[in-house]
Amino acid sequence: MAAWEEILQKHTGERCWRLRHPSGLTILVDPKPGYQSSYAVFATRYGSIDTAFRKDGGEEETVVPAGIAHYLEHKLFESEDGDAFARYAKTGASANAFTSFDRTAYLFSCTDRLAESLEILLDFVQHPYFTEETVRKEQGIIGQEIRMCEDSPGRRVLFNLLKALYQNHPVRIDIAGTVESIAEITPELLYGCYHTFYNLNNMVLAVSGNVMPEDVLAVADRMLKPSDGRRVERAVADEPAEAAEPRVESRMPVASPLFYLGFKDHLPDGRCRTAEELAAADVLLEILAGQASPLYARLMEQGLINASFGAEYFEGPGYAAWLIGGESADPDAVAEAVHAEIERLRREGISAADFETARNALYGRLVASLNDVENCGDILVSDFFYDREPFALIDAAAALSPDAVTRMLRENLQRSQAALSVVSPAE
Amino acid sequence: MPHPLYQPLTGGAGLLTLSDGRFKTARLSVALLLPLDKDAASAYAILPYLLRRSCEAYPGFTVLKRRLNELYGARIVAEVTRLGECQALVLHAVSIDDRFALHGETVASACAELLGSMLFRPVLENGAFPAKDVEQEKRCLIERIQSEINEKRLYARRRCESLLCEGEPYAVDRHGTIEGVSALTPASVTEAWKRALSTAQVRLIAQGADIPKDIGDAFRAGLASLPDRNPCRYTPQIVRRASTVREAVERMDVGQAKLVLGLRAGAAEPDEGVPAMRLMNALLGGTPHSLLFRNVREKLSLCYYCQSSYDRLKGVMLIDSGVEEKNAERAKEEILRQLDAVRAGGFTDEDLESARLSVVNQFRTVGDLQSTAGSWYLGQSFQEIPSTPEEAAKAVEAVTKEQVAAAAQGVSLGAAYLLAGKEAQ
Repeated sequence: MAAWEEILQKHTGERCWRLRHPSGLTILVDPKPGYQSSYAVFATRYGSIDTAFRKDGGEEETVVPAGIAHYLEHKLFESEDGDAFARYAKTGASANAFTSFDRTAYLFSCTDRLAESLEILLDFVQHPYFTEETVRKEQGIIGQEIRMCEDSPGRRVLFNLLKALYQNHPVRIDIAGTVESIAEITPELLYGCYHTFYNLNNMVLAVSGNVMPEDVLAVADRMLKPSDGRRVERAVADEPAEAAEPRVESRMPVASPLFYLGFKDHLPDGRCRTAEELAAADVLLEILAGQASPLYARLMEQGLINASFGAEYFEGPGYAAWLIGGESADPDAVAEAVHAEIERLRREGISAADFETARNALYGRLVASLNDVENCGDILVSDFFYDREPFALIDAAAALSPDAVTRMLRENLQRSQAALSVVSPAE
Repeated sequence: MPHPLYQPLTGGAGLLTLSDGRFKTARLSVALLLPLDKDAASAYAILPYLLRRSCEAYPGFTVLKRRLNELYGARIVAEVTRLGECQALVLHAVSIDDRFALHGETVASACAELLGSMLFRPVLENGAFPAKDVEQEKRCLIERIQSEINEKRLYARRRCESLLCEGEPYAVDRHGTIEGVSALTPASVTEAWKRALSTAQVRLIAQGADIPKDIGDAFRAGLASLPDRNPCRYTPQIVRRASTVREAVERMDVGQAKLVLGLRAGAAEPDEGVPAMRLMNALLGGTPHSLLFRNVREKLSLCYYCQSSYDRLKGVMLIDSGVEEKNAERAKEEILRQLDAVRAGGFTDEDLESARLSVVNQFRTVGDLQSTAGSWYLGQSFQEIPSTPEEAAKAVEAVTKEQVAAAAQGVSLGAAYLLAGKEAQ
């Protein structure tokens, strides 16, 4: 019989439970005493970067149209007898789903009747139903979603950046695909992708909030159909360390230029950063471009940035980047200032006090993020997909050494790895 | 969720405490509530951003931010929101609870102290905000207003509100105008700060595991020290019925058109009809199982989203949708047809019960985040006794099918706004 493994987060006392279910599915539960709501997310390691698959372990590779993972997400809500939203409507749960570069996730939150909603979740995700007609009908809705996304300057500036950073990795392809690419999607292709990637060994279920592990197990035992032991191997893209092109620009109706300066993190083996490395990457970003940094003060004073300025570490399997962005009248000047500040830090080193305050800030942010039931569920899923222990980043931040940050600075953030993406006002 | 404890501080000010051991953070918010006024909005809007820059002990933005990072990434967040026809100037201090400090530091009360100091004792030069700071925040605020155009959906909603409520305070942008902000000077901003302190209704909301008893003291003392404090009264202009339908089409280089309908809801706080209107809104377009979602999106495939929302403080409802321009008229007809169906009671008990479950579920979740609980109680500022989300849920549970139909009958279309691509399709 499968046994629950307890995982205790040392600094916060957060306790969660992990189980490898006989069906092949990994289940994570984070009970949060006193909370009214529960949140469940059932996710597969399948996103827009999975652009090809092999049927039944064969040699022949099927290349699929861009946007198919997202299309599949939409269609999975339908079954022969109605859609999943109608079933959730009866339990009062608030349901949704999303597709990102590296995963597709189906989720709901509720304050009552958790077992019933969980049953709906596990049921509809395990029962695909596509016909020519239902697949065709979705093209109108998704076509509108694609147009809506095309009108978003924030999305354009990011997707353009990824195209500029990556030469081969499929993270450079838009998650939703194009109106043309989704027109090629057929029920057969959807079934092919489904049976390849929606294997329980390739999936995870995380439930957080007002829940106990035994509640989840009872539903899982009833609902999960054992998957064959087949594991899906993700193709590792042949991606050089250097950016594809240093600068890209497009025009849209925006008030002032939007920009992202990205530095590609070189992860040639398709892996993700460890918790310690990720903590170092975040602290480095805080020191370089956080609101307490000299760079931030200088750019603000020069009128080159405003409150929209921000920085983040963006990651997934085989791709990751430091992103610095916002609005600016002169994005190129901001980019030059960032490069100069990186060179200064390399030359002068990082002071103990700067390290300490940035580390404290990261630790505090991570502790605060545990307040949110939904966030906890999402963190469990990410940690699982990225091969990290649940909530490992908090301990890693608390124990981080200045050397790890210095090493991160020495080995990364090179000009050759950088690209600048700009969306300027239409003429 | 624990019951809130409310205590008046001095005239027109109050402190609400929500003691709650579940959270890993302490949160203290102070809100100045002022009537939305087109001549004053710009000067008021800049204040939170200016005040959070510095304080006596940390007289510059960088030293202050550094101090906050030391305090485990504590955040002082400035926000300008609209509550009915009020402009709310809000500062939040959010920090980890002292239990989680790595070296036993006192974090939460240090942040509360910073917040009090920012509000009442900002850095002044010759009695006015430093010119350099004012210029920087003016630029940032202008850029914030300009960038509203970037998010087309929000922009379209905002335009529809202005069209519907032309000439009413509700139409005044919470951030003011570019011209208004451009004209600000250190003297006029300082004057606005003094006027805000002496005329605003002040609300403090304290949340955390172990809220110090004296948390309101600094604010009580600060307010008591003002020589001529005279808090204003809140009197929103509620229009219960639209007399005409105003229409507007705006063209921009967009691929997807945005259709927004503005409606007078017929019910606003403190009317008895508010719970029925809340439920009506959920049934019509507030959930992914609503009549609008099922019919306009799923059945007719006309759009990616079609949602309704209800502002109970003003009695305004918006229905917005992302459509192809050639389908906009059809979408509008279908939206109004669905509204008519609700008016005639043409919905099933199942539809009603699922809408009710969704609203109740939403209310029960409010207390699970400090930010949503804080917003909830800020939204109750004009009620003599704030109602809890549980009480609001009970009120919705008691609404009948007839009351929902009656609520829909009270709704009237007042504006139709379309943001569309440059080339007519």
